[in-house]
Amino acid sequence: MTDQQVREMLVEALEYASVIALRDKNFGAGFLAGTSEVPIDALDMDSLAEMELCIAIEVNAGVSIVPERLRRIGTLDRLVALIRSRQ
Amino acid sequence: MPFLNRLRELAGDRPGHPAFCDARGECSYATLLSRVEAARGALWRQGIGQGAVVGLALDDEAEHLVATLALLAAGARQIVLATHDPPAVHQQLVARVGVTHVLARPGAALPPGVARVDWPCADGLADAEREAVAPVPAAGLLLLKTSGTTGSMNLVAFDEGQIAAQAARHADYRDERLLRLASIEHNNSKRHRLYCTWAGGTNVFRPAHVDAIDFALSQRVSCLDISRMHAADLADSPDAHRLGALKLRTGGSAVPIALRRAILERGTRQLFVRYAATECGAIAMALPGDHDADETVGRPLPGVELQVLGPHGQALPAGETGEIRLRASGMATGYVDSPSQTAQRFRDGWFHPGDVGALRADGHLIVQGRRDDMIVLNGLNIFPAEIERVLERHPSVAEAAALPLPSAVHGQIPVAAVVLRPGQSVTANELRRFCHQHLGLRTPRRVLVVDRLPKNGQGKTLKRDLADAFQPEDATP
Repeated sequence: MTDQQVREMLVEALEYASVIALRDKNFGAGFLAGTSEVPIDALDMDSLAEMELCIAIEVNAGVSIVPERLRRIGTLDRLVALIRSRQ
Repeated sequence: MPFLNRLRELAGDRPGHPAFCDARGECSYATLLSRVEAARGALWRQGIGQGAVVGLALDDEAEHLVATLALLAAGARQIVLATHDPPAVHQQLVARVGVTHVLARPGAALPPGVARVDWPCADGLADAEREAVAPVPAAGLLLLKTSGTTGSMNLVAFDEGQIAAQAARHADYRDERLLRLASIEHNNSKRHRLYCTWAGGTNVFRPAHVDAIDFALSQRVSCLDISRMHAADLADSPDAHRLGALKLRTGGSAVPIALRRAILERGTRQLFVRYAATECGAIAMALPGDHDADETVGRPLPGVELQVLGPHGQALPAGETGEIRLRASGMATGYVDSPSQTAQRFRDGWFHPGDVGALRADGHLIVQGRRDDMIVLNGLNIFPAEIERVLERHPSVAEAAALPLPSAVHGQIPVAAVVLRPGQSVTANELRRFCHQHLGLRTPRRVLVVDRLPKNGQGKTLKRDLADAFQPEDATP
């Protein structure tokens, strides 16, 4: 997957997991354009949303990430880089 | 009672009643009996009796039925060498069950190492002469193929008493003219053709390349038995209404309520949905008034005792979901040459078909899916059939198949592939959201739109092949 495809996949997954902060805090557009850093903590994900995000990453990109590890990755940009490095 | 004695009864009770018909015309029970008797004598002269294992390689359905009855009357073991299977499959079966003879049309190619029996055959003797030289032996044996849980083929053996006991659950065939679209070379069709004969009904055989509806009407068929795949085709056909006076029976895999309603509205009100297994015959059947959102398969038939078990093997009360087990008259007691599969599926006098379901308080059985097919996502049990039913309710979807992708973190992740109806367009994400509205956490996490689903010869989706389509895309710069 290209960098852009990974970003689109993550936004779709966060919307599917009902991560409201993505829209409320207007993170989506800047993240898709690669112009803003989005701290994963700022997404206010509950454990179910974290799980759904990890499932989406695995089923679409073939990269396994344990939900508990997500927050330690820090930002969505670093998550994109991690996914691409493991593909 | 052996089949031959039953044929003698029927030839006495209703000698002129048609036992079967095809494009060549009708064959009465009296004529059928004389053909079976004459063939039995001819087989006896060729040394085919008890101890013979005969491969039956006849694609002519009517002739296949007569040959089956003659081999039973001769006391032989018989197994179908399906004419649509390649020679390598025949050779494997011949070696596996020790086939000694192959019964086929003159000139047909045979596997090496077997004796040829040309069909048709007749001994030219009068009945009294034959009785003197070829007494009716003990019951013949029918070997039937069934798919195993590991994908390998299992074999079950039924003697004539077992087939007769299964046939008792189909006594209503006596007044039917029965057409099945699946060839008699398939074990399910073969059993039902024998049940119909036992009941004294009329088997109707369709010639190749003839329209099913035209043929059914021209032959005054009263009962049409078709696979779920054929039923879905029929429900979409503009000619479906022409079947309004027929009974339509289907089964073999989950029949969704949307399909049942389509048949009831556009085809016939007389819809029957059957739950069955090769190992025991028919188990339950939903009758025309039974179809509801639970997708019941009806109450267990007379002669069938069925329980739903919890995780510790305890019988569960009505409404609770667990593993189905049953015992039925005419049931097999194990698999031929597979003690491990026998130990797994036949336990304590019960047969475990490997399905999960529930018995409702009104006695109706709801089958939720195969235990082996169950997808376990982070401890949540999901049946492919529930995903497929939801997707097939979407107006753009013609057919769906759900399957698990293995995951080291989550156990298994449910995904699905769909084939769209002609001229329809809908995105995979739209379908995923549609599923989410109806399934919540049980939704497939990825949906692929494909041109067609990979299937085997019986129309069953090959999910292992389909899983390859879900490999993640390669990384590109």
